[in-house]
Amino acid sequence: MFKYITRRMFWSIVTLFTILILLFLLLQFLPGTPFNDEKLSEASKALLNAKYGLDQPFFSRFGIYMKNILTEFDFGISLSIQRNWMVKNIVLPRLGISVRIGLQALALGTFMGIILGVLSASKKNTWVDTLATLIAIVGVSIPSYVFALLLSYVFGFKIPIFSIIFNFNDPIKSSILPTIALSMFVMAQVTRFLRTELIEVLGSDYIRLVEAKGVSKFKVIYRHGLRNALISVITILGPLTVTLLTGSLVVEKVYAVPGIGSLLVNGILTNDYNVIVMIAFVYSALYITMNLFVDILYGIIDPRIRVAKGA
Amino acid sequence: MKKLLLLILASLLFVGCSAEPAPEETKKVLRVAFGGDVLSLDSTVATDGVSFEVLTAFTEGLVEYDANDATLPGSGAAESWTVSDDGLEYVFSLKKDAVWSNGDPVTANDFVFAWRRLVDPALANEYSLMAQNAKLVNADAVIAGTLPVEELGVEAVDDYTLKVSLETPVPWFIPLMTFPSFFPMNEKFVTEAGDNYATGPDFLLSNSAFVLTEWVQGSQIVLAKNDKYYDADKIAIDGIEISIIADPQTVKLQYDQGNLDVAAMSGDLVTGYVGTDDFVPIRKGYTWFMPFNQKSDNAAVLNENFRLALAWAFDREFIVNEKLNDGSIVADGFVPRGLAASVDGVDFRDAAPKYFGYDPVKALEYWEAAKAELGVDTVTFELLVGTPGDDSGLAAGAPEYIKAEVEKNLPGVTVEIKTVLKKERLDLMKPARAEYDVALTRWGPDYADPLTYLQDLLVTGSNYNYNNWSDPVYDAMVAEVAPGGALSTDLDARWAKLIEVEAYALDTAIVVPLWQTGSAMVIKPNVKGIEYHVLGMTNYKRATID
Repeated sequence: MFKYITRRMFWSIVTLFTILILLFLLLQFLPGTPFNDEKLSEASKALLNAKYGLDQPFFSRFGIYMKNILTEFDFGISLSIQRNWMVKNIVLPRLGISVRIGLQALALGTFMGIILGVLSASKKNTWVDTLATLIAIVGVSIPSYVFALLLSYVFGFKIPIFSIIFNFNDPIKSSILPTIALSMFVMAQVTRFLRTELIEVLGSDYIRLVEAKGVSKFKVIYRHGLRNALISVITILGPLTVTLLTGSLVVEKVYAVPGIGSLLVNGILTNDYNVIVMIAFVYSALYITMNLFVDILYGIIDPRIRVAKGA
Repeated sequence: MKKLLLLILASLLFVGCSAEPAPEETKKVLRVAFGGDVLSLDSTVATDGVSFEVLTAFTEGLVEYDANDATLPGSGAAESWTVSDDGLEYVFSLKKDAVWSNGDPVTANDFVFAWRRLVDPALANEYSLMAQNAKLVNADAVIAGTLPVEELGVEAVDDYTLKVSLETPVPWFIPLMTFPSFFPMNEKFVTEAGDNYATGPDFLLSNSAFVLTEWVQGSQIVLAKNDKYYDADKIAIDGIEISIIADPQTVKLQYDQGNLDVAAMSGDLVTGYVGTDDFVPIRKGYTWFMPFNQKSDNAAVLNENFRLALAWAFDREFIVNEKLNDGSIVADGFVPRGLAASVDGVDFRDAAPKYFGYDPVKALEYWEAAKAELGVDTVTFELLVGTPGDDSGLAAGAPEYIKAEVEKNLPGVTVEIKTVLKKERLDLMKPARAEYDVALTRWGPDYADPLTYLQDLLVTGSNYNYNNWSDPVYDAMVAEVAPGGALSTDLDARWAKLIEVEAYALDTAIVVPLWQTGSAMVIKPNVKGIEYHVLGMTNYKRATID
């Protein structure tokens, strides 16, 4: 297991390194420059390019970029979003809130999804099942923008329980609506996958044997069924993290959450290369960590998938 | 299981009920929504509208606009000024009771320091171009690095006397001093703060009515009344709280719930407020127009009759009322309304004729003439436009409307809309590339004079001559009214000539003005006295909350 984790971590680092290279290459193709003001003269543009090192040859820029990131974790200074600020001073204060809402949504969505999934699988073809499936379908089909707006309209405006926008002075309560909005998709996916898997597991021979022994239905589901069915849920947790990252762009906008989603969009629109790189790097690192975590969880939940032995 | 669900639901409700009521609002704080974030609060680095708005709220330049768009002595940090007879030297006397929020007096050196910083080639500030617009002596050479910053035409004669030297007389010099790039900076404070300058309330000073107390990036900017301000007893509100909210729907909900006092509305959301006391349309200086690239290999774009046919083929009134609906007005000419007035105070647009309109019959006549001249029956051209949302102020659906009307009213014409990001649109349009036929673009004025349109966009060789138009007669006309030209000191004759200049350009439809942007504000009826300006930034000094 230890060897397996070490190997996986090694490959994670290689992947991150490759991402850094790809990011640098791709940004060369981003149209425009950080100095988009149409009223800027060519001479001033040349001065600006020189000041921010954008006039250097390709390989020299690439060298500086890799060296600064790898040796000092320095992503440079912002070219347009907060001109002349260190990028990490822009990204890091905003990272916490995005990650927190993301994790809250992941936890809430998975938890609710498991409850709904178990309910609908154990009460298959009853009204409970229909209702749970309906919720799941709605959750997958409604765009998060619409759902987020609906939530803020109903629980922020019509019945003003929560604030409409995120509020730093009340970060817990004002993050509830964004969390729910973001968790809908997770909940729906988990419900659907768990229901299908659990129905299959519950129909298998060993479950019949357990039932034949006279074990209570509750124990059958929770001790013998769910643990097997959860593997399917864990498989989708990795990809779901990506949905959370992209979903956060929308949810952050609706609730005016000062997270990194909106920052990334602005970075791309204004060619703030260093900001784009740092956020893309952080997103990649989060995603890779999530996948690593999922792989390790596999081994814990199902001894049959301890890949290390085979490898 | 059911119990668990109930428990969760109950706890959610409990969280809801535990909400304590907001404390009694005793302070009069103006709550304003902005759609975008502040990009820099260093006045020499800032280049965007939001940053300028916030900077203006806590910094006072030499002069300020009053409610009638006039820039009078005493309106800002300058008590009075004198201008030399040749119009090349301005001497400002500063107010002696003005202090920074750290207690230091506001001195002439604060302006000298800031202006030198603006043009310092080592700092490569984008808006050093404002020093060039102001025609400050040696601005070009200092920016290019061939002369030291000390050679810039600005000096502190003593602590309270500032002398500014210009290369040519600039009729709009005083209004230009309202622009944030010319704001003062406390040298000692800025030097001590170093790289931290302007990164937060601790690293910024105020010399105006409000002082920055909180800045959460991407979320909130809080300003409190500055008790050290010399006119503090005339400020009726206790502060300004700016929320940055990008989503217009969310802005509307916040406003309707009473969490905001001032917000901008757009598109369909405006409709609900029209006719109520909250609705306040304000005018901005941006003119949207259609340039025709004279370097295009599409012969039709070079044909005057074809351009005139396009100019009359669609209804700009419809775009303004149905597609924008935000207080924008039809641009009757190239120079926007409210930008500049004659010596007698007559607005340029009231003095000049109205150009173009919607007349399919006339459009068809021009089209027939164009067909004969071009020797063709059909014309296809590309209409380059930005992405709605990214290209702020572009009416969503306007390009499609223009296409539909043009193709309906001018049989044989095909419009191919090409949509790109704004930055790409500008790149394709710049004279060095000039890869387009016809475009939809906008221009905001840099100074309070028609030349900011008539010269900067249309004379031969200008960096912003997107039309790539070159007409010696036109250039000669502009030279007469430009700074240093034959008419530059005879203001009445100059005014008459400016009207002729615009007519010369628009008679050939080298550009077709479309609309002048407006902004539909919603303001709570108990809030009064916020001053919006076509060219200057919003002024909150005389705001009141009942």
